[in-house]
Amino acid sequence: MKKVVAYIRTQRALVLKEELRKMGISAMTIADITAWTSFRKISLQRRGIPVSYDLVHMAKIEIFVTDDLLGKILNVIIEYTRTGEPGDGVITVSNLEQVINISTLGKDENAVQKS
Amino acid sequence: MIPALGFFEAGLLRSKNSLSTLMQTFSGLIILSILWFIIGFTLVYAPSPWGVIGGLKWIFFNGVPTSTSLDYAPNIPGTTFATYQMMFAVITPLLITGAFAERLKWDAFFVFIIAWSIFIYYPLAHWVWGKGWLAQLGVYDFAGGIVIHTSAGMGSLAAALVLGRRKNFGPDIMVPHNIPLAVIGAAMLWFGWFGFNAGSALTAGPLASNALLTSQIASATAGMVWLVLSWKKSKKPSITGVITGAIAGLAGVTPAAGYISPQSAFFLGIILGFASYYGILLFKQKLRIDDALDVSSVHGLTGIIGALAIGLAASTVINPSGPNGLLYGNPSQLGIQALGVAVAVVLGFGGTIIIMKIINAVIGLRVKEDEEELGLDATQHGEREYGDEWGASA
Repeated sequence: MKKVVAYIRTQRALVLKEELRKMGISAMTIADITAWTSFRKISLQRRGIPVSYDLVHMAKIEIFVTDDLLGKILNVIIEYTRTGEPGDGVITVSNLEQVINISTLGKDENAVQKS
Repeated sequence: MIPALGFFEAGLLRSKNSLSTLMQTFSGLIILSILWFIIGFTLVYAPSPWGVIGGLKWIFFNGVPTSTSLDYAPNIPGTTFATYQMMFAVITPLLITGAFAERLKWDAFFVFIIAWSIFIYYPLAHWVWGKGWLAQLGVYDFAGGIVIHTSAGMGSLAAALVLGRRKNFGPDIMVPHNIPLAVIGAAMLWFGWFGFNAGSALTAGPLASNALLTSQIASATAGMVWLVLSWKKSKKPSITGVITGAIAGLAGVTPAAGYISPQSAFFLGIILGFASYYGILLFKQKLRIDDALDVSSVHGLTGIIGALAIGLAASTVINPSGPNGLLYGNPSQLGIQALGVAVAVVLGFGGTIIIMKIINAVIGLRVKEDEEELGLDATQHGEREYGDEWGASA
């Protein structure tokens, strides 16, 4: 089992969620987060005075997947979130010791199956 | 009432576009007040030789009497009347903000409301209210069912068609981000509407009292219809449904408020509730026209029905200076009202298409795709609606 965590542009979260649903993902976490990078700034204004912010809103998506689906999921995430501009975000993948579904008590692949 | 419209809409839209709609309504109040002061009042209410458009006698409010009244409103000073009518002129183009929400460029909006006022609202208001040709034919409109709600409602349908659907049109994007805000807006609209409808009596007396009561009761029965229909359909009564129904009732009773009895208003409200509910199902669900906040149904269809209700149920017992309708022995009034409605439909729908096509050709109407995704607040106004307390300037 793997955990995929993707930090993406907020406005792409809706489309990505739909694509992941279509490929059979049964659950995921979607969180609004504030992110900082050294290279991304956005220009806004405050009462007519321009200001630039280096804290930007992004979405964080967490998915628990079986190993065989990993490659496909990464491709989908990249396909639907990448613009090529700075600020597209990052994806991390890590190993999971154990996953337990609290309702069904299913473990690992049984924990993430559609009920 | 006008900022209330903004709250109502902003609450029903996604947060990333809430400031843009508040900006459109609030700045619309500013822009259109100025326009009314400079040219609007005179184009609508100054005498005209052929009843087509008012002359320039009162340009910049010059010569509008403060100490004496105009013959439109014998009981109040001329400037009071002119300022009161400003509110109608301001809110009418801004009703359409609900249709083109979440995707119209700011500069296109700016040009649109000015053009729409000059080419659609001012002429139509002159024809019906400024002793123009429709008034001479006997078309009646107490507080703006034809002039305001039919024209803006059909304009909304046209605007939605020209502009096209929002990106990813579907239930996922129709998320009211702050329903309490929408309820505050609806509450303030309802209250403001008493000024709109009862105020159109232009004097405090039996007529204003009748308009006050008809407005309240039609709004209540229309809201009741929505309450029951949403309850039946979703198994739970809906607060966004109830406020929409109440607004639909207020819009629909507007033209008839000073001509029909409270008992007629009771039944009119029921019809308005059904019409707006099924209008939304038709336009949005079935035809998939993205009139974002359903102005075409909540204002357009109801405005048409209310204007026709004058031809059906108006009574000179209620208003001696109004007409009798079909039920009171004057069947021809229904035809005259239908003519007024038809003119407003054609001008509102056709005129809006022409104005939007021209703006599209010159400066463009729609924001870029990535701007639409990011939201109009940040991309059109450089401001964010909530929570930038971490964002120190760098």
